[in-house]
Amino acid sequence: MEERVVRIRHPFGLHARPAADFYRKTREFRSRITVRNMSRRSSVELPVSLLNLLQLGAAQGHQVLIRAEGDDEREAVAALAALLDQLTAEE
Amino acid sequence: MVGILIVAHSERLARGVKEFAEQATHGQVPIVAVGGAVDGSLGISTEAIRDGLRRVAGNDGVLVLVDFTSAALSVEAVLEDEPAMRVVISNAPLVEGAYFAAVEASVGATLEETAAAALRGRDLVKVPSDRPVRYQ
Repeated sequence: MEERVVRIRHPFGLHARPAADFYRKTREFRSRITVRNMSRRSSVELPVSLLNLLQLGAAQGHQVLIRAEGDDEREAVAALAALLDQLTAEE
Repeated sequence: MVGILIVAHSERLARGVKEFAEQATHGQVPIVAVGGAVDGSLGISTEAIRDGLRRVAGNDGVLVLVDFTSAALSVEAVLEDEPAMRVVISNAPLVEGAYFAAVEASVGATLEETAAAALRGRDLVKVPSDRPVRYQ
């Protein structure tokens, strides 16, 4: 199992366009990938899907956990954490 | 790739939904927007729907997203004359459905998978439950 936490820096949070880009990237890996918003009490760890990404309610400053389990878990988490950081960077 | 047809009673509404779905998928999915009556007023044109279906149809079928019931009925009427077309008319909300469908189609999903993704738009909660509600 591999995991990493990314802090969302963009003022709009994880909005529709970056969520779509992130989801499309997750489809390139075979590992089971889950996400969780560590900054919301109501957020639980959920399998990655476009709906679940939007339901994270990930706003600016929130910490999002990316976790992967499978034979490409290291590559998955490294690539997805880097992409999420880049997609939600400050403008 | 699955094509997407947006049918709304307003041309600007249809075009706006198309623009949104295209931006989310970097223009990788064929999306055609049809809206308004022939004279440009609010309404539905079956001719425009027929033309839109033909423009967006590829080998993998077309998912149609509509704003209201009468738009769906107009698409059904057009399809009666186009028995060879593989088309699913979605019950999904227009904006969410177009967005979910376009992203799913962009990763190579089938028509059935794309249609299922669009319906997930009905489950989207826009205001997280732990956000304080303010009454004026």
